[in-house]
Amino acid sequence: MGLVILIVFCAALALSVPIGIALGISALSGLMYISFDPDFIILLPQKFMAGLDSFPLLAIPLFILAGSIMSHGGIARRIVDLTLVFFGRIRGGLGIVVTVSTFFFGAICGSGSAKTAAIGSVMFPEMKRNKYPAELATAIFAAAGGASSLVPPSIDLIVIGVVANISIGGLFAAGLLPSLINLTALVVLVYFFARKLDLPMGPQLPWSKKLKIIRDGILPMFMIVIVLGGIYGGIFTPTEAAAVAVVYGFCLSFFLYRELRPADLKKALLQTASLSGVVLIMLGTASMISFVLTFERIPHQIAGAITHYASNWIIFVLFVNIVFLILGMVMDALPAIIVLMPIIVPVAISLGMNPLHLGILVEANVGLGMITPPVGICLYVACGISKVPLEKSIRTLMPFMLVLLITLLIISYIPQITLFLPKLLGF
Amino acid sequence: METDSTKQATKGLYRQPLELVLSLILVSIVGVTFIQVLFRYIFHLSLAWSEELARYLFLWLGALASAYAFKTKSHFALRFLVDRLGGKARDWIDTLVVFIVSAFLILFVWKSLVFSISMARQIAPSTKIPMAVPYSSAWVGGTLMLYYVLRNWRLDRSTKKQGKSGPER
Repeated sequence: MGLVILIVFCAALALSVPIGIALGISALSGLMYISFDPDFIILLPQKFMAGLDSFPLLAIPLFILAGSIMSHGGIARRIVDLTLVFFGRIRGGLGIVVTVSTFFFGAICGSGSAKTAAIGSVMFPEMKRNKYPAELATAIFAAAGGASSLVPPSIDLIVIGVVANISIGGLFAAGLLPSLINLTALVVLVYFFARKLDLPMGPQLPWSKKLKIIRDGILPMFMIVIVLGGIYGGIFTPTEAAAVAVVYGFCLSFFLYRELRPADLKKALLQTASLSGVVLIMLGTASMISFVLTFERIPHQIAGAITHYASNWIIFVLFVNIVFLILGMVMDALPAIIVLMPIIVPVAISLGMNPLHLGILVEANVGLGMITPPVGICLYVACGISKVPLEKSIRTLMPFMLVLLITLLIISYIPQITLFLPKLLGF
Repeated sequence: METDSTKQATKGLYRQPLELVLSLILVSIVGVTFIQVLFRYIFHLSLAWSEELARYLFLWLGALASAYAFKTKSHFALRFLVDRLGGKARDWIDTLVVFIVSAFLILFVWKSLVFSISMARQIAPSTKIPMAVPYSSAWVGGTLMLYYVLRNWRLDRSTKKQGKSGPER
């Protein structure tokens, strides 16, 4: 029966049925295979509801909304300015600023594509003025957006936590050091590019202006303290932190900076609705599939097969990386997370791995999948900003993908990097 | 991707009920969750109903936002295989996809309706809302999804007939 589901799913995808519906159709085919009893199909809406009915998942639209409000309300701009003060005077400063500010912005905003869009659209005109090749700018936007998906509070980390029953706070803590590794690697790569292409430094700013920018940037940065500090300190749950982030971001950009007009707020709300719809339908229909598979004990069989071939965690991790990399290339990673995580987490535990480590390395794969063609959401968004055709961007993107692949292997095979902070914080 | 299409939709927003409802749901989720934190820390009073209410609002958000994402054509679909095909074959496949998606949605709506009716007598533990209220989101959302799938299909066809190329994803 697993084969039937797989064939139906692939056929539906190839025909360009939206992924969310393709998942539902394959779940339906699985149910019909089990029994032709039409009463059985009532399980589909029931599982759809059950898949969405969870308080931690509420953090997803809320973090998307927080990011959306902040990019419309001038907060993305302030974060960029702030990093410009600190990193602008290095060779290739603008490129480095893009990378660093995408990561900082990522600590407030949950969605990879929204980060890429927010920072990219602010920085692209500036980079063009400074003679950055458009392909390089595109590659930097995409790579920073994808690689920063390890930065808490990313949407996929929330989903991983919910479906695999791992502490979301723990995942948020575990993601910090690996994302720092990604950030460092990208910054070094951008620096090398800047050396090779002889790119200029950022503008020299007078001290008075610098101080003003720093003063302006402190409040947006304080948001990161509230969100992450609040979660790590046990003051509130990730969902509550997201709601607080929305309210804080709204107050900053509406009352203090007065840059968020009511029209922008509407735009932010609708963008959030649209993006949430894309994510939530997949969550609902993927849990239909999970149910059908579990009903037929297929996860059990898959897990058995995995343990048969992967006798230790080193091979297992290699296997997980390959599967998620391939899936991440051809489709959105979310359905893969929802269906596969509950299967592989028990296997990982039986091989002596910490589930936090598994969650983070899967997320590192997901981040890489966001920039790999043919289906890479961050790559699409970055190309949309720079108007570089997708095919042309790939050559410049290659070194970035390679570097992120190397950091992926580092994150995969040195679990201490991932586990240091969660252990320190007691997750 | 979704930004361009949302931009179009933003024009004349509040004559559009779906957009209005979605915005209201989002704002209410933020409000309810924020109040929950506020009550716990400022008034030292943990609310019993807030989490449940937020979850039910979220179910409605999930169903309606999925429909809205059909309206803005934001859903992920693998286009790169189909786009390689020539015009005629592609049109044919697009129609087939609309047929498949609609068939699934009709089944989903029908079964969701049966499911909500069977839940009509159950009452939510802390908000005392009948469970049919949150569960009805599935068939309402499904119906709207069906509507937008068919509407997009019709619009695409009429633009093609006029000799213009259909809107790009």
